[in-house]
Amino acid sequence: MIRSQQTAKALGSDVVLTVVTKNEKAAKQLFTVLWPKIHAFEKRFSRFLPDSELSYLNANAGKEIHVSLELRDMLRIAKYYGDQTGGIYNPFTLPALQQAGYTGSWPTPEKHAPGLNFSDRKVVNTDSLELSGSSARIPAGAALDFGGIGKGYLLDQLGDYLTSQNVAGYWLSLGGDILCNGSDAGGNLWKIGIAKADHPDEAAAYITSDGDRYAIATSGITKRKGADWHHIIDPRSGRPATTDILTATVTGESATAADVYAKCLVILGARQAVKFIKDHSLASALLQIRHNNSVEIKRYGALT
Amino acid sequence: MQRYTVSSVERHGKHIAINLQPAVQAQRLHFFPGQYATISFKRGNKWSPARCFSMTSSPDDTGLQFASRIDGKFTQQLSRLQRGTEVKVQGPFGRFVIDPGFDHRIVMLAAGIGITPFISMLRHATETGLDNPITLLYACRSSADIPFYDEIMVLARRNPHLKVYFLVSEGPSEKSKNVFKRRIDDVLLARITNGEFGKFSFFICGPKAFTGNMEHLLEDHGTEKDRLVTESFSQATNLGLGVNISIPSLTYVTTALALLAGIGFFTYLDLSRYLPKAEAKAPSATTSNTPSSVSSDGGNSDSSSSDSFYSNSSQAAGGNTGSPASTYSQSYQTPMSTVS
Repeated sequence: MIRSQQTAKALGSDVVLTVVTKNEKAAKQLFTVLWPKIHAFEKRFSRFLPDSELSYLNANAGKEIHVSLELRDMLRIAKYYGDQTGGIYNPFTLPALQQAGYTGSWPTPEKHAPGLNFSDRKVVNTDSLELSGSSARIPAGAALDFGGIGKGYLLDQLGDYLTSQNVAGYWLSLGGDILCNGSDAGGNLWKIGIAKADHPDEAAAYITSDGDRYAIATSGITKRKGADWHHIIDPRSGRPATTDILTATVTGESATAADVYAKCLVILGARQAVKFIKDHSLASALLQIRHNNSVEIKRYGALT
Repeated sequence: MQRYTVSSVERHGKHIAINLQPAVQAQRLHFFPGQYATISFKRGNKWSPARCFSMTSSPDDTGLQFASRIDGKFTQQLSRLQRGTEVKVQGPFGRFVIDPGFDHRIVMLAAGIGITPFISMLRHATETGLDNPITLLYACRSSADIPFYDEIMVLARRNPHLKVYFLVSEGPSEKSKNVFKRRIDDVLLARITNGEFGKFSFFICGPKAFTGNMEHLLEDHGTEKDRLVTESFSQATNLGLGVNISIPSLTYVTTALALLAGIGFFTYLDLSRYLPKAEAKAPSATTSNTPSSVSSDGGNSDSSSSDSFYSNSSQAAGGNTGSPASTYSQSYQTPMSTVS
């Protein structure tokens, strides 16, 4: 068995695909399917592309429009997690994100592409998302994006494909969200590092996968010079979340769920996060919490 | 982009404060204290060029306020704006923002008209009852010309967590007990911080020389860069606030650079495809002689793929030999979950 890896920039981040196959040819065949899936996803769901299906949906807020099966699926899942997290996860925070200055290549004060500036719209609840058959309608004056769920969703799709191809082992990373399965070329279970909040090149902890499908997602605020400025909007305030959690890492079978829950933990902050972990029966979580000049690491569930 | 109209223009010696009201209240600009925006105003049927200004109003105010020193054509025109003039505001921009959870103790270092972002911060901090201790050190040339002096004094009286000191280089210092004839130096900063520089966050705004001096001084005393925040566009006193960046100019320059980069990129792609074989072989596949393990970072290989967009790495389970990785080789990455 050999382990093959390809990396590229996609989805606004680093993407790493690693597969374990009998030979290099088999790996190449997998890569030729995986990359187009990733690029197609980006093309369809990027909020930065004027011709993406997501942008079309936002441009037609208030109207019932026909949507693809994939978009409908994502909307359904986004609605589900919106309800399930009591609104802490909300795909309608795009206006607040743009109001906070995330217009694209932050922090450059760059113009939005025409028609993609929704900063004058409002944050609404996921309840207001209407799905019927193959059509969907978002409220007039709202705008949606799949940050916080998109990468997890795509990871699950890619994982499903690799499983259908009986791939012996893989680990995939979409901008730091990871899904793995099986083992490496030597039969060892995958060992995944969790980046330190204050030194992202170093690991705060390591997790060894269990040989089955295993997802790890980390969400957090990005340190900048002098203060924290980040892209995680608290839907309750419509502002970047005020939180003492620098990063939250969640593991589980579903990358989508891990992605959503990690983001929720950051928004909630350390005190409320503990209850959330318990209420949602998260398999394991690791919080890196800010205490003045130091970072405290707290582990929950299987990580303890 | 939001539309506002001029509600008033205040003149304070060499400085002006422009007050705007949103054309539609629901579409007013949302910002954090310390951020800036570009404004352009209507001149006849045309719009003026856009210029950057820090907001001096609090985010909770219904209107916006910008302040500037009158020292150029644009600010001269601003000072003559009539009530009702239409103004386009685009933003907010900038990271000159307090994070109350991180910036537990704050020292604000302002010089000249560099006070403007701090005015917004102080107004907001006082209105919201922010209890993080704030010390403002405000350097001005003369005690006779301290922009926002009266308001700062009022804020200092209302806000028990705010201390202000005015440092002047000319004229008498007996304006009040808060005015001192001296410079901001390490002795003064050591006194303010009790020598514990590392426990404070320093926000610096003023002329470029002032900002640079303060940064060096604080770094020399061991202040971490994380705790030094300066405004990203300089506010040299000879230019006045906010005439340094023209968004259209920035866009033209960026576009030109992007075009050059694009041409270079495609030239490189073409060359890499049609280079002689000897060079094409450079990233030859190598394999490891160590067993595969995710945590090991040695013995990685680079399978030369015809697909130039992706970096490749392949590693066998063990025992194979191969040539050392070429300069093209991409180290095998181990899985690390990072902030996505």
